[in-house]
Formats: sequence, structure tokens, C-alpha cells
Amino acid sequence: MNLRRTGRYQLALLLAGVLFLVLVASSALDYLSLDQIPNRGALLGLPAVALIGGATWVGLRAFQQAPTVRRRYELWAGTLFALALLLWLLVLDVFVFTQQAGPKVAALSALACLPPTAFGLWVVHRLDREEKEPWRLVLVATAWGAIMATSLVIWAESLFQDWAINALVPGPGLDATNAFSAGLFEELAKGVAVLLLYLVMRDQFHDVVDGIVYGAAVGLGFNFMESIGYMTYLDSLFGPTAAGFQWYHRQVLDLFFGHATYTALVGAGIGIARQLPGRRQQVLAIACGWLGAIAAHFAWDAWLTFFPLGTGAITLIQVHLRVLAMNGPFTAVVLVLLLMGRRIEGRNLVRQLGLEAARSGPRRSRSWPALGDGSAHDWRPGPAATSGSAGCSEHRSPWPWGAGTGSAASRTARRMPSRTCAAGSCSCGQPVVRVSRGGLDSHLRPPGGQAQGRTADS
Amino acid sequence: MTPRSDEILPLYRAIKLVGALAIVIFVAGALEFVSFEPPGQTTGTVARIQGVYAYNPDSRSVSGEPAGHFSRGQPFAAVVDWTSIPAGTQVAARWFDSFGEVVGQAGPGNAEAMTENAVPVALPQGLTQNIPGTYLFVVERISHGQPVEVLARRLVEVERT
Repeated sequence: MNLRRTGRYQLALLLAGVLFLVLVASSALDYLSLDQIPNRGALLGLPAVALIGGATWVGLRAFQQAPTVRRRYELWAGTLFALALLLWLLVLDVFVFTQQAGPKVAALSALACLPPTAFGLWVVHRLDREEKEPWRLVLVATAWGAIMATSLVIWAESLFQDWAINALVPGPGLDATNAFSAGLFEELAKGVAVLLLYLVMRDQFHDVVDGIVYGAAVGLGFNFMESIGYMTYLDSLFGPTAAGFQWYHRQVLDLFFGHATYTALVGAGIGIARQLPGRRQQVLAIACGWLGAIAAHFAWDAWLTFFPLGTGAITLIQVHLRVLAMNGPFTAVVLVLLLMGRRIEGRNLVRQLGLEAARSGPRRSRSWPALGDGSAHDWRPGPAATSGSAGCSEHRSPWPWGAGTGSAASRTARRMPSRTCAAGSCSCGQPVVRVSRGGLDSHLRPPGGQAQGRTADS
Repeated sequence: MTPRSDEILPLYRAIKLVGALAIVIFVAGALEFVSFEPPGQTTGTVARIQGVYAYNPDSRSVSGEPAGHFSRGQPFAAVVDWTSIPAGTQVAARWFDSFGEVVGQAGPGNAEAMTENAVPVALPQGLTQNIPGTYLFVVERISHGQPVEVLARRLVEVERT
């Protein structure tokens, strides 16, 4: 383990320690101030306690194991502990956010919010077309947004707003201050998830596209929990119509425009930093992404009143226009960064393929420039290319270049015959290219070896 | 293969542009804050709020002891001692509900001209009860038509049940 990696892990450990202390303080405040929690919370928190017990038992057993097996036990202990922590926070969250209307309305709200959030995650997951991020990490990011981030901000925002309400003149100045606190604390709490992924999961965090995917996933999780909170609260005040409108606003209209966009900006900054060589540039990129997210969040919260809604049917149009006018530009920025990132990925792919082609002969190398227009993104592994189980036969290349590009070179490439390798053997004698982040890592197939990962012949 | 540095440069510039845009937004927010919270407005004047009481809208009078918690169906009003404020001071009193909406007010006017001591909370349009949550009552000094200093404030809680 080199020094830089050790430094990253130490920083991640420090962050995790600070977060743990904040969460303990938050739980203590919950216990002291919300008198309904202890009884019901203790009952529902029993599974969390059981998981802690399990984590302790497995953790202790780890010490009795041989070093080679110990790591597996430690991993289990860590997973159980993390699950316990998440469960306990979820219990607290449910009570803090949903006590207004009761568990039935809260459950219905959660059920209503699940499909749009799942759809949002599906879309976000598909953003990275070259190498999709593992679902487990995307879901961890979502869970962080829903459970950890919401727990982290409750008390920070409450204490800040208590101070503000006792110190400032009510009105736009106070609104702006509260909006700033919401932007600052919420984006810090959400963005720290992306930062931790950046620090400890380098293998799955390569560039700006990955950062946007993880950031948006955190934002969708946060939006999920916040939607439930607002829906239950408004249901208790104004009935189900208000809750339904809130659902539409947050889960349909604002699904990609609100928290998903803000945290995607944080992720974009961190993702760009991942690709930069200098430490100063990395810090600046991360800071700029974070500032952008806080500013976008602040602008929405502080200046919402500048776009007042009328009454009647026109309100429906105004609501949509308001979201487009206020959050649309920031979402557009995220999309631009995403497209730029994907273009770079495409160019890397082309460059790597060009190198491979140059090694294997002149015939294919003439075709690679056709990819320079970004059409490499349209690649889908053909069944033979992925499974490696088809027989060695002539078939259309698994690289449907230029779908929509129409260039002569791409048409030529599309017509190119190719070969596939049967499992365990490759008789065609061509080098196999393995697709990986930032391009293709080529490796010559070992004689009789099994194709790994996405393969394509060149 | 890692991307070339000249390929990353546009992305780096773009994110720096995002940072610069963020700073512009923060500056705009700070200007807004300063215009509504102008510095140097503290006079040290303190208004006296006698308390928040249960209120009868029909007789427009308060009753009982001052309280900090009310049920949703209970109207309530703050009672201000306007004589505690120096004559000639432009003042106003306002109630804010938990959404930050103004739900009751008196003034603005000169302190000596304020005759109604009780400032009640009005029910929001279309509702038969108050919205639950924390209500803020403030007595403010007005300058150039804008509140610039809080002379007194009081928080009360409207219970959910």
C-alpha cells in the first residue's frame, strides 16, 4: 500500500469518525428532545441492537482466524455494523419525519415515492454507458442520501435556524440566511458520501461521469426521504390533495432538477478532480463543484418567492416554469459536464482501439477514426462478445458504430465481418481487447484462455 | 489509458466556471441580505411584550394567563406595551406562522399612535384552525418603510393536537 493510498484511507477514516460523533450527538439530542422516540424507538431499534451484537460476535471471531480468513470475518463484522447503524438512523428518521401524520400515511407516502425514485436511479445508472457503476455502490449512495444525510442535517439546520430567528429581522434577509444554511448543511451532508467513495473506492470512481452518477444517486435518496417528510406533514395539515401535489412536485417535476442536480454538481467536481494530476487543481475542482451545489440549492430556497404562484389553472403552468427557470440552468450545467465527460471517455476508447488496431494490422486501423464523433458510446456487447460461448463464426461486429452518424467510415465499420471465440479457445488468432474505464486495456488472450469482461475482436 | 491533459482542461475550466457562478450567486445573496438587514441600525430600544394570551375574536379581548403553547383551535394574541417605545419611533408588530407567512399584524405607525395593545393571529384563508408549529411574534422598528430592527420577539408553539 503506497503512501498516497494510506493518506486517502486515513482521511476517509477521519471523516467517518467525525460523522459518527455527529450522529451520536444527533441521536442524543433526538432522545432528549423527542419524548415519543424512546419507547417506540427502542422497540423498533431492537433489530439494530441485534445486528450490533452480531457484528461484535463476528468481529471477535475474526481474531481467532488465520490472517487469510480474518479479512472475510472483518468484512462481515463491518457490514453488520453498518447495517445496524443505518437501521437505527432509519428508525430515528421515520419518527422525526413522519410523526406528523402517523405510520399509515408515512407508509403510503413511501410507497408512492418508491417508483419515481427507482426510475430516477435507473436513468442515472444508465448515464454511464461505457462502464456502469455497480448497483451496490449506487444503492449505498442512495441510502446515504436518504438516511445518513438527512440525519446529519436535522440538528445542524435546526440549531442554525433557532439562532437566526432570534437574531435577525424576519423577512427576505432571514429567508436568505435560512436558505444558505439549507444549501450549506444539506450539500455538505450529501456530498461527503461522494467524497468518501472517491477516497476509498477508486476502482469504481474514475471520472466526471462516475461522480455525476454517484452524486445524483445520493440526491435521489435524500429527495426520497424529504418527500416522505413533506408529504406526511402536509397531509396532516391540509389533507391528501396537498400531499399528492407535493408528491408530484418533488417526485415527478423535481426528480432530476432538485437534489439530484445539486449533488451531481458535487460529484462532477470530485469526478473531475479524479482525472486531474495536481493536488491544487484537485482541491479547486472539488471546491468549485461543492460551491456550485450550495449556490444552486441556495438560489432555489432563497429566491423562490420572486416567482410567486397565482391561483387556478395557471398555477400548474407556473409551477413547471418556475422549476425550469430556477433549477433548469443548473441541470443543464450537469448535462454539459456529463456530455463532456462522455466525449472524453469516447476519445479514450477510440485512442486505445487505434493502438490495438495498429498492433494487429492496417485493415481495421483505417476504421477507428470513425469513432471520433462519439459514436463509440453506442457500443453494446454482442452475445458472443460477452458470453464467449458462441462458436467461432462469422457475424456482424459487436460494435455497431455510428448508429445515427451516417459516416462512410462508420458504415464500412458496421459492415465489417468479425469472428467470435468459443469458450476456452480462439482459433482466429486475433488479440482480444478488454474494455475498461478510460479506454481499453488490451491484453493478448492467453492460448486457450477464457475471455474476460467485455470482449471485442480487433 | 488515461485521458490527455488537454482533454481534461475544458472540464476543469467548466467546473471553475461553475465555482465562479456560485460566487456571483453568493454575492447576490449577500447583497440581498445586507439590503434587508442593513448594518448599523441597532438603537438599543427594547419594546415590552406583556405576553401571549388566549384571545376572543368576538369581544376582541384577551383572557387568562400568558402562555407559550396553544391548541390549534385556540385563537391567541400578543399584548404589547407600546408606551415602552420612545415616541416618534416608527413601529410595527407582526406574527409569522411556521411557514414564515405573516398571519397577523399591527401598524406600521408611530409608537404613540398605536392604540390596540392586542395583536391577534388571524386564521389562514380556508382553514378553521391554526397551522401547528412555532409562531414568531416581533415588534419591529421601521425605517424608510422597511423593518430594520427587532425591538422585541416572542415564540409560541401551536400544538398539533
